[in-house]
Amino acid sequence: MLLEIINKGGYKIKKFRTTFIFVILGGLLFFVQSTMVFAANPDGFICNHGYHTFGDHVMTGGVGNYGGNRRYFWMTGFDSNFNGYVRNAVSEWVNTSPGYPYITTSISIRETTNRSAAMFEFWNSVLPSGVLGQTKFYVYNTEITLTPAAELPQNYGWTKMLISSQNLYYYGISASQSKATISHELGHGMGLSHQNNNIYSIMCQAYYGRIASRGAAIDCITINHLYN
Amino acid sequence: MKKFVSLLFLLMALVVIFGGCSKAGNYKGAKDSRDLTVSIEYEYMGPNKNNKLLKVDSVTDSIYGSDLNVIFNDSDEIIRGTVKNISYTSFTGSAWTKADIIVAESYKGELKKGDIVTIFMFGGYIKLQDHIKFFDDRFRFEDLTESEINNIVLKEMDNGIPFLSEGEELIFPLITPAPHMPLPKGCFERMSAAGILNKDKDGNYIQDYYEEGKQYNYEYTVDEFMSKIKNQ
Repeated sequence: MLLEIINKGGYKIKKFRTTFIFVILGGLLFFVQSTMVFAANPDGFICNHGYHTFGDHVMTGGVGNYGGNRRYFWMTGFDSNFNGYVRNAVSEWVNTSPGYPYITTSISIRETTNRSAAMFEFWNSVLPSGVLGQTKFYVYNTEITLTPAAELPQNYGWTKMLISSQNLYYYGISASQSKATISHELGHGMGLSHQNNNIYSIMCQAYYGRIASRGAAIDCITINHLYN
Repeated sequence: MKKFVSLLFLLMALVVIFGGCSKAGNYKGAKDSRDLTVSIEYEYMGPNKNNKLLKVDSVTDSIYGSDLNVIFNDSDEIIRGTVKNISYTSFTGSAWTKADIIVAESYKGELKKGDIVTIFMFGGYIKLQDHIKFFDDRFRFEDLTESEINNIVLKEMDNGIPFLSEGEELIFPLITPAPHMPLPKGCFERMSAAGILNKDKDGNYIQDYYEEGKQYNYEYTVDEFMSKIKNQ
C-alpha cells in the first residue's frame, strides 16, 4: 500500500516535473523569440524607465494639461484631403477615451489661425525621396541637437512638422497611412521616439511595417509617463 | 652646325610624337568623362568663423530602412565617388546639401568613371534670416536683435547624420528626383541616408545607418556587397 502511494506520488512528481520543464522551455523560447524580434530593427531611444521617449525631454509647458494649459496647432499648404488628415490625427490624439485606446491623457490641442499661439506647426513641404514626414525641435536661442544616443539634450519650446503630401501621393500611400504619418510626427512633436519593433504603435516607422493609424495604448501610456 | 640642326629637328620630332601621344591620352580621358554638374539659383557656401551656429535636429519617417537590397533595387545609379565640392541651398525653408561628385566606379546605371555629377541631400546650413523669410516666423526669435539674426546660421541635421566633407570617397546609391521635386534637371538625389557606404582599410564595405541620431554600422565583405549589386 505504502509502496503504491509512493509510486503514485513518484508518478505525480514526474508528471509535474515534465510539465514544469515544458513551461520553462516554452517561456525561454518565447523570451528568446521576443528578444530576437526586439533586436531585429534599429530602434529609437528608450528612457531609463523603459519608455520610447527622447530621454524624457518634453515640450515645455506640456501638451495641454487636461485643458488647463491648452496647446494649439496651425497648418499651412495642404490640400483639403490633408487638411482633413491633420485635423483627424490631432483629434484622435486628444480623444483617447472612453473609446479606443481607452486611456486618458493630458493632451488638449486645438486648431488656431493665430500662428503665434501654436506650438505645433504642420507644413506641407518638399522632403527627400522616400521621406514622408519630418519633425524639427526648437528652443529659443539655444542650441538643440540629438545626442549620439538618440535622446534630446533638453526640453523644447515648439516643433515644426513637415509633411510631404507630394511624396505620400507619389508613393501611393493610403489615406489611412497618410493620416498615420501625421499622427506619427505629432507623436514625435510631443516627445515620443521611434518604436520600430512594435507595428501596433503609431511610433513605428512606415518602413518597419506600421499598421497603426492612430496613437495606441502604449503611445498614450508613454505620453502619460512624460506629462503626468 | 648641320649636325646640330639635325639633332634639333630630331628632338622637335620626338617632342611632337611623345607630347602628342600624351595629349592624345589626356584628350581621350576628357572625351570619356562628362561634366554633368548642374547649378541652382541660390547657393550658400556655409557659415564663416564669425557666425553663431544654432543646431536644429530632426527625426524623419521614411519608406526606406537599412536594407541595402531595397535601397540598391530602387536606385537608378550606384557609384563610388569622391566629393569634389559642397555648397548648401534650401527648399521650402529647409537646408539641403549640394555636392559635386567625381565618379571613380559605377556599379549600376549610366554614369561612367570620370563623370562629375551633382547630388542633393537633406540637411545642411541655412541662414536664420532665410529660414525666417520662408517661414515668416520672426516672432519665434523675438528676443534676438536684427544683427544677431543676420549672424546666426542654422545647422539642420537629418537624424544626426554627419555632413559630407570635401575629398571624402563614398559609395552613393542615387535616384533621379521624382517629377514633383523642385531640383534642377540632370541632378541626382541621395537614394536614402542609409544607403551611403564607405570602404574600411580591410576592403570591407561599411554601411552607416542613423536612427534618431544613433549610429548603427553594418559590415559587408566585398563578395557580400557585390552579390547585393548583382542581385539588382
